[in-house]
Amino acid sequence: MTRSNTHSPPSDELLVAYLDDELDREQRQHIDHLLRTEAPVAARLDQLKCGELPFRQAFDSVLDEAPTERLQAMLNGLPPTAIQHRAAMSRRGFLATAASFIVAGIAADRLFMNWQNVESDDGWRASVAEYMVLYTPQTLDHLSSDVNSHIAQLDSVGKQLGLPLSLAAVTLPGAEFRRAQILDYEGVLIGQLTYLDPRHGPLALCITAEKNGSAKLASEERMGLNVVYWSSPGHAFMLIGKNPFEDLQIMARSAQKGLPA
Amino acid sequence: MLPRLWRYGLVLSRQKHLADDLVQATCVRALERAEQFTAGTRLDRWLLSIMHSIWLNEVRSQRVRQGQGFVDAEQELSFDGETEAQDQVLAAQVIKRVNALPEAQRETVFLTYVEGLSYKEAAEILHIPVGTVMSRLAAARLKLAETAPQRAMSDKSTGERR
Repeated sequence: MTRSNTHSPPSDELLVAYLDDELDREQRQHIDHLLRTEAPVAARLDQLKCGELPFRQAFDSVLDEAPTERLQAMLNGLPPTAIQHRAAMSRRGFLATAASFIVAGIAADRLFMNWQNVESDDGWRASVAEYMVLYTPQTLDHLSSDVNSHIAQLDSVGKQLGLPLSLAAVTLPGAEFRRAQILDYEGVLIGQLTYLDPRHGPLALCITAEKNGSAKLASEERMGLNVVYWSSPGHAFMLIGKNPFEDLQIMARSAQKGLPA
Repeated sequence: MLPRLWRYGLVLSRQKHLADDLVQATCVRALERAEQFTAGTRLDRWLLSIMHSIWLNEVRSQRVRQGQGFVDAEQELSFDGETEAQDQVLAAQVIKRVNALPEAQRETVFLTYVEGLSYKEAAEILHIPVGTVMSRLAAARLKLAETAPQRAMSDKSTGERR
């Protein structure tokens, strides 16, 4: 998203996310503050708001036009060859479910619980990336730089993750520590340690309890952000930011040394 | 679900007969790939996502799609009383303006503001980063604001999502 410095106005994207209620509390408060204090920001928000139309109402009228009977007949008439034997659900089951959806809407999700479960173990990194992509330097602006509160935050996060965290252990070369907090992604606790890198903007070291990972550093790109990740016997770690991979790898090695195994 | 699927087909293709074809192709593909459906996720999202891929990778690349705007050209609505007629005119205007957006913006607006998907869910269906969803919505809103007609419409617009 934006790579703007502290004083530039928020991007249109951020303002739209504000209107759509897609920001976290901090980001929302930041925009609230700007709206009160900076007239051009409020004017821009109004302009974006003008693009808001009664979309749902309008398009719901289209549902009545759908040739539902014809589509249903088509569905019933699909050749059996369309169904492969390895399918976990029979065609009859699918049709019954599809039909029930017409009546019961989308509440029938649970009917599909018996379908094969493909849960990927990198899900937590995807969640973190989706969250971090919304961060701008402003997100971290007002956070306390008080060392004692940092120590207290790290202590609390460390306890919840079962991993003692000291300020010295999580200090990253070239980046300024801003905050540690626990995020809950659908029941999975993720420790998020946020830093501000003066050159590349927000950066996070995230930790979650996980076994069976590799200690070797690996790299990937997610949502336009660079990620370096590794594991200890009990935890998985990831560094995510706009820093080049080489920078992140240096930081990762420093964290690997500092953190308890 | 079938009407919703058909409506998405119409938003993508802007032509009713293509929307029919898209629903059929999507159902066939879903049956073929039933075992790929991930338990605990939502069937409607999965079907929308299949339709998006079929449109993007197959139908769109094969067919000339110079559809008319589907509402102004084709919509035949019954007019019962003045209020209803007015609503229908407004609905037609909104659809027409969304229809005039570039395809990428059009379908992002549809998934987010009509289907009520979160940025994350829309991004998954479209196979794009959340940041791209955000920039498409910002661009679409600016374009829609430029062509904003009667004030009455925007007044009705609050609380659209979820």
